[in-house]
Amino acid sequence: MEPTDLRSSLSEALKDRSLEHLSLSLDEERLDLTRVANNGVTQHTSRHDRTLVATAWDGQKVGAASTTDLSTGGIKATILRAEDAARLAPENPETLPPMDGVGVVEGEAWDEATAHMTAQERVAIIAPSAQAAGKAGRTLAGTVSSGWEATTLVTSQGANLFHRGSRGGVSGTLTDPSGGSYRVSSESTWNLFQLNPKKLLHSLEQQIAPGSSTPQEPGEHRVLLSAGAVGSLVVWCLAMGEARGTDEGRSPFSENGFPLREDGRLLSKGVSLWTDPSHSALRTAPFDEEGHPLQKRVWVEDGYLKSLPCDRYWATQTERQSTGSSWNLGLTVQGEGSSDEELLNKVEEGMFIPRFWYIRTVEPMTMGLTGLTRDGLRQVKGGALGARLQNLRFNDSPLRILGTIVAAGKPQLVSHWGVRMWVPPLVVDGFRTTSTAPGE
Amino acid sequence: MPEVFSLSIDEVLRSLLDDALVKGAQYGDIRYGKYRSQTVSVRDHLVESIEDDASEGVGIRVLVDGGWGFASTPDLSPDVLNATLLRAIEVAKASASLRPEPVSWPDLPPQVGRFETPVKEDPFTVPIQERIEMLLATTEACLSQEGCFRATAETFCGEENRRFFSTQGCDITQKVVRLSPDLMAWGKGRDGKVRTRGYQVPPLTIGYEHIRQADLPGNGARVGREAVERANAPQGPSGKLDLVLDPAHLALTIHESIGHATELDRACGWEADFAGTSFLKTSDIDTLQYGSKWVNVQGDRTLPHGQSTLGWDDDGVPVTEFKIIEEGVFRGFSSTRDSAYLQGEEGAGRACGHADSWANTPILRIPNVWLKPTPGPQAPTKDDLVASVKRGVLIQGRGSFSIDQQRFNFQFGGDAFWEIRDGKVRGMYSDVTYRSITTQFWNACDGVAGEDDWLPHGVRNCGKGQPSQQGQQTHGASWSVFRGIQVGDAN
Repeated sequence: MEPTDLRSSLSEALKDRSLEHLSLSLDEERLDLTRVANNGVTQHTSRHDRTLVATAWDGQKVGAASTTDLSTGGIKATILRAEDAARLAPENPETLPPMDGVGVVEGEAWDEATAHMTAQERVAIIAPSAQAAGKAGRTLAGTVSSGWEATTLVTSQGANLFHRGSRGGVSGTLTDPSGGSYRVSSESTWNLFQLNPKKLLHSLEQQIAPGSSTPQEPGEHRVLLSAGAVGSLVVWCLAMGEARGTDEGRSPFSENGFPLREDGRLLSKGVSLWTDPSHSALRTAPFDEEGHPLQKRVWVEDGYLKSLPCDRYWATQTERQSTGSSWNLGLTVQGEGSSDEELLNKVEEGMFIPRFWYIRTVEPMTMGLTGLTRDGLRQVKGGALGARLQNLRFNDSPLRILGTIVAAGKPQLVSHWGVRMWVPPLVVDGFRTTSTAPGE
Repeated sequence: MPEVFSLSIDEVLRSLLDDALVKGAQYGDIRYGKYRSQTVSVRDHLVESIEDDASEGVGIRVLVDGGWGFASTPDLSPDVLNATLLRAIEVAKASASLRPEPVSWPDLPPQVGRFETPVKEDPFTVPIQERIEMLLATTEACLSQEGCFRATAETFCGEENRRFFSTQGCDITQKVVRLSPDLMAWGKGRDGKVRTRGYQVPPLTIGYEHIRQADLPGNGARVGREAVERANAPQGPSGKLDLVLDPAHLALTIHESIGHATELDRACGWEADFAGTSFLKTSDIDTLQYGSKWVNVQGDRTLPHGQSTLGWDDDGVPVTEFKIIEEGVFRGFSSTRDSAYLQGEEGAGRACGHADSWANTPILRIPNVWLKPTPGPQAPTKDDLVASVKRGVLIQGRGSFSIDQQRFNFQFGGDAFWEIRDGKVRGMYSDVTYRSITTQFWNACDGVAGEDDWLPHGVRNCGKGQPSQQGQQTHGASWSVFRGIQVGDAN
């Protein structure tokens, strides 16, 4: 089964429109996923799904309809439903027609082996670690996924876009009878084998410290955050960074939001946040769901807030350039590249946090978040990993945390909410924990 | 029978199951699904979107050599359906190669029948124009309040037509209708502080009569006013305080600290890599004091209009009601047909297998989990509970929420907060969070109001599983009081 490039038939279907404008966008995916728990396969799925969205414009009235039925009749019926919805809608002065001048864009991030792995090949990746765990009296839970995704988009303004990407991932959580656990993961990549998934899973065996866990008094600590932990914090900058909300005073980037430092910086000197669909490790689609072309954008440079994602309507109101919505994120820290040992040496007394869990907003205007550690919180003393610790809850803001960077390691591919990110592990100061959870 | 369930589709699907047995499956089932939803969203004086969504497809699950395989497709042509069955079998064979034990799949008598959500007014017959006018009237009522600068409102109407066949003779037709309105207002305070206030109407399986009864326009001005009042209110207190919690707020507390904690798959490690485990063990059944005597919690997929209510689960097991907590004592986990044996159940489990669409395989999902009201005329009222508090906070609605992977330590906010002093509700607070350990919190429950105060609030978008699936559950509750809870850690 291959991704279908339906630009030709969808372009033909555009002729069926009875209103001024129409866009047809098809998202298709094949997701094959092997799930392991207690050292055996508990779930194994092969999903093929697709959604065609028709959006119709009647001047400044707009409506949308979707379907999984790609027969000629199914597409026609969906266009009619979208046009019915558009006719019913009141005029919306913020509505813009489909983007003009996009033309033909094709892209791919394709690895044949990742796209077409067999079920037995996925099992073969995780089986050695599951069997080793069983022999050691431990339990492994995890996943290996493979498949592809494709997007086709045509509009009455001439956009003719197609992108296909292979997509795979791996994760594994090893649990010791003593209660200790550790997780490795990289759950969204276009080239699974670049990650060496077998080796990654095998590395779990060395990660759990012996003995039992101890409680750690909550407070403010210097901590080493794994790249995965960093990703699950900085992804909130992508989720909450948006020009209109900021201009309207509803965002942590607003004047009434998170306070800037005395030097006018938002984050530490030397810190940059960016999106780049063409980055070799990220490789996401070169256009968004509207067909807006995407390119590298730097949101924070050397700690200064430079710009924010801006939609087309708000761009017309504020004389900015619209940016489109990019589903990837990078964090660069001047001087990054320290080894794991060098990073640990920066922590005289503190903690290593490999993973966060259940992060949610508490105070949106300052990006105040809460969440917990899980799977391998460790004490750090004198630059060395120490005892396992019971989980801690934090209440802190990524904007404050990214203003206290002490050192940064080598960037890695991580993902959170399906967002591919290229971020380094970080040593940061004053990480604020507020209570303990008795587990690990 | 709905038009989509044509005889030809039935025949094709039954024939696929025959093929599955011929090709070596010990068991197989097929779910055909046809879903439709309409969402109308407005912001301030504008209609932001009108969406009319449809989805149709088939999911095939087989058990081969003791291992599960599942494959799905939106393409209903016979050739593709046959290829999908072969994919499911290939996947199952690979699963069987790494299974210390075969899947447990207890027998069940053939289930044949139909279930439909009781609906008085089909939401899809209500003109979209009428929904637009109602929503715009609502946001305009919000914006009429000085200081309210943004309002959003939405109606979601969904219909799920499900067909289920199995190699063991199941032939089940189910139609579920979902409704959920939503309203949120933003208020700006005198010092520029921005806060929100919502009107959280219970999402239910029900007809459009539910949206009419909710009267969004009639609540718009109040919601707008309270958003501004909240933005002007002082920060909440810190320390150990009593909490009086409303049913809309408790729904989420129940969901996170009881619903998920009592899922058997989590307790047995099946979700250790992602959703997490549980502090509970099967040895805690009938021994662990989960809460105080006031705490009686049911698992229940039969609850009228509950979001998780239907006739059979996606394993073909008839739905049921069961005790999770009785007078504070933990009585057992939610279970599925393939996990029931893990807590010593002899039958086919508690019918908690659910897939969010034809495209995904069934997994254990929280059923409707609800807190029983205190029975009889002696039950306390909300006012009685407030009167019992010397210093505390009254919390309405859902806000920030977070809990650890083993469901020990949670921190919740809310949608609106009022000071309680000397048994009376005083002024509003802008922000309050509270934090507790699950069993300490439920053991601190010192009163649950009666039936008149019971409301079926719930959760619309519970994420679980890999690939992620969305679940919906109703978690009814009455107003309740909790003593000496830690407040204000997040300040």
